[in-house]
Amino acid sequence: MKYLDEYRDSTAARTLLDEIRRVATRPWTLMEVCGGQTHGLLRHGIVSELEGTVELIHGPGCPVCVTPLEAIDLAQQLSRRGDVTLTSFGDMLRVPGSRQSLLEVQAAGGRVRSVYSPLDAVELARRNPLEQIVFFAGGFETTAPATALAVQQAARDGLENFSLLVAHVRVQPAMEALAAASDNRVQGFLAAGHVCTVMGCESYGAFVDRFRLPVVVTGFEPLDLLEGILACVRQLEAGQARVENQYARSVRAAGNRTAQDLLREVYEICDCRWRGFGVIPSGGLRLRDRWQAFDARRRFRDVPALPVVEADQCRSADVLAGRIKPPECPAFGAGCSPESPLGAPMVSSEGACAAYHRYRILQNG
Amino acid sequence: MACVTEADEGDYVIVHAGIAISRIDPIEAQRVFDELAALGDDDGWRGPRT
Amino acid sequence: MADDSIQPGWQRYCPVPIPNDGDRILLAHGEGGRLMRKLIRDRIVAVLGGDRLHAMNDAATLPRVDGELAMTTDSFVVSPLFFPGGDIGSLAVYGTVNDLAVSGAQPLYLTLSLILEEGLPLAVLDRVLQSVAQAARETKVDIVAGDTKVVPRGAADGLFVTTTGVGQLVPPVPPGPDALCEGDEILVTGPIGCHGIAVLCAREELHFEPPPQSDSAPLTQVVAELRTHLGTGLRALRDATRGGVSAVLHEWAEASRLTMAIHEETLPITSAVRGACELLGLDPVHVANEGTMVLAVAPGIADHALSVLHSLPGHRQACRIGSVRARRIAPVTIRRLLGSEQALDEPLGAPLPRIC
Repeated sequence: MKYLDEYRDSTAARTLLDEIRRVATRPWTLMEVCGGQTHGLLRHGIVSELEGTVELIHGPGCPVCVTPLEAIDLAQQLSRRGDVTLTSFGDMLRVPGSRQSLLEVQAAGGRVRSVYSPLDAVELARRNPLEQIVFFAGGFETTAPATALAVQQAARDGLENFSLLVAHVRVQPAMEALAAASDNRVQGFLAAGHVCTVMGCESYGAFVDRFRLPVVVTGFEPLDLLEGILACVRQLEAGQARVENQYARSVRAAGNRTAQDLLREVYEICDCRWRGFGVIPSGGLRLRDRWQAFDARRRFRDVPALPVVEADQCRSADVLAGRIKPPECPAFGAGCSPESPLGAPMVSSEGACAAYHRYRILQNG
Repeated sequence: MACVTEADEGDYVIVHAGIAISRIDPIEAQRVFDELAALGDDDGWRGPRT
Repeated sequence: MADDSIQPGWQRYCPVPIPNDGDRILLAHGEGGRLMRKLIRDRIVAVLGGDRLHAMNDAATLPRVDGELAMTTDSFVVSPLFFPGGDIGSLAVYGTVNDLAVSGAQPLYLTLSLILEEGLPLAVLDRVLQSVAQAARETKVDIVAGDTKVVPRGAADGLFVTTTGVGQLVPPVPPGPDALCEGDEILVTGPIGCHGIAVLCAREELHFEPPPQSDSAPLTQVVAELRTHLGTGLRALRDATRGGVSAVLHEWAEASRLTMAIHEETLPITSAVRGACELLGLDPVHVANEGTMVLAVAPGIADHALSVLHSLPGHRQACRIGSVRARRIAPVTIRRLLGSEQALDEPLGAPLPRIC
């Protein structure tokens, strides 16, 4: 398949691996920011191939994982009302909240439905005029344009039964928080290719100047990942810190202006609590005043908030911040598995724990 | 396709959450393979079939 | 609530025009009176045919069969009822016939139970029954008994079907997964994941062009050819339905206490399935098939098996995907792009509910 198979060629991948090993004169520690990249690195066995040469710390780029518990609990409360159908992406429905997941709420009679696009939720609202349709809008700047478009569409069609429970997060402020932390070990970043497709990579200029750490915008296929790592290692070996764009087939320097305009039109930047991180300044998005009519938090003000409870054996906060690798968590594979997850990273298709669980390499093979 | 107005029929686009967010640039797509060729991996690899 | 907003999929997806209210299933169709008898006689038995069905007795009497029988049952709740490459009617026949065929039996008889939702357009029922009849003719099975129930609107989704099948075992029956040995080779008979992706794309109205097609098909002929040519070298065969190729391999690993080791690069995947899986975050190895089978054959005869398969229409892409090895720490392993060997998990829950 075009633009997929050629980036999975094993001979080419070997050439790149050899080159990385040749260029690296000492071990380096990089962070891949996006959960999609984490899955690619583990699935294709790149993490283990580079052992001793490049350590990869898995970044916080799993939107479902960092969505605050408070928002998940609120979504569950909404789905229990009876007059609301709560819609979201499949991963979001499986994430454990304080007490259970949305899917478990559904089994107990809550109204929950998975959709592939927020525009499908708008369509559902159009077809069910007597029902309130709420789309639980998590995700980074990659997903936010689609939810912004959904709000605009609902407004254009005069749909008064559609609203958004916004839990959108922004990647760069989280990278800044990580780089600024006193215990930061990351020496270079593989920036998230799809987020940069929307936001561009110009904004990383200031980041690089401030932290003196290389940033390489990287795609998701094996050859993309290996090229991103190679570019990062070359910069580090040369003592440089620049913004490089490995994923130029999709990422333009300025990003996708149309999508950015759409974001600015509908959302404004706000401080935001990330699960596992605490409040990240400018780390989230909220609806602008003129779109407040579509804010589920306002529309359903009367829903009581329940106390937020984190599973105490779960060390997902340390995993998300890159302080530990998933197998170092005592619950990994024991009390916590994809079938009965304690934390979001074990659930999501972008979560690091799920990636380690799914793509575990057989040692005594 | 509201966000990728420059794409034409036959172009490849990247779709996220049900909307297209970018058009794949075929010239940039080739660059990865040019770089590989420079590393000496030119036996059996000729870049994407276009 | 507007009429087209009702949850059940058949109204939204069914491409036949929705007829006027006079042409729908009513609760009275299930209540044992004249309406029910007329429905069964004129719409169901008339289409499905067969002397035993026409007799409309409480039970069908069947002639004596020498040797052992095989029996299986399966319910079908696929949504939507019609999808590219098939529909619930043919699926209900092929599914049960295929279960008999891969168990080493010649399919003979089927029963057909229908659960109809009040409000189902009769035209939809007719189309499903035509498809059942056609599939039964094609696979040479007789539908000998049936049942029809109607449930109130909302208690079912359009139409559910249960088929039970009886077949005659034809020796030598392939020994099955208990008999797998180290060194046996594992093959698939065609591209994987087609059915699950076709149904998912139809249900979620994902407009791929061209739309992915289901591989729903009878396996009687291909199974017969394989058995004739491979004899006892054919150790085990299974249609890789729910849970896909991965589910079959996990069952075989459990039955044989050996490890099923496959190579990712060899899995045959159409670009339509690959594209949809990339977009939806699915792994084709976990996605359902309704025609593609997994085979295990004795060491050294994989090429012969493949030449038999390649000579049959629709099996050009049959290929070897791995082998049976001594049990290591994982029941099923997959060799990835760079050669690392990983455990292949069983599919978790149902990312694709109601695909059959």
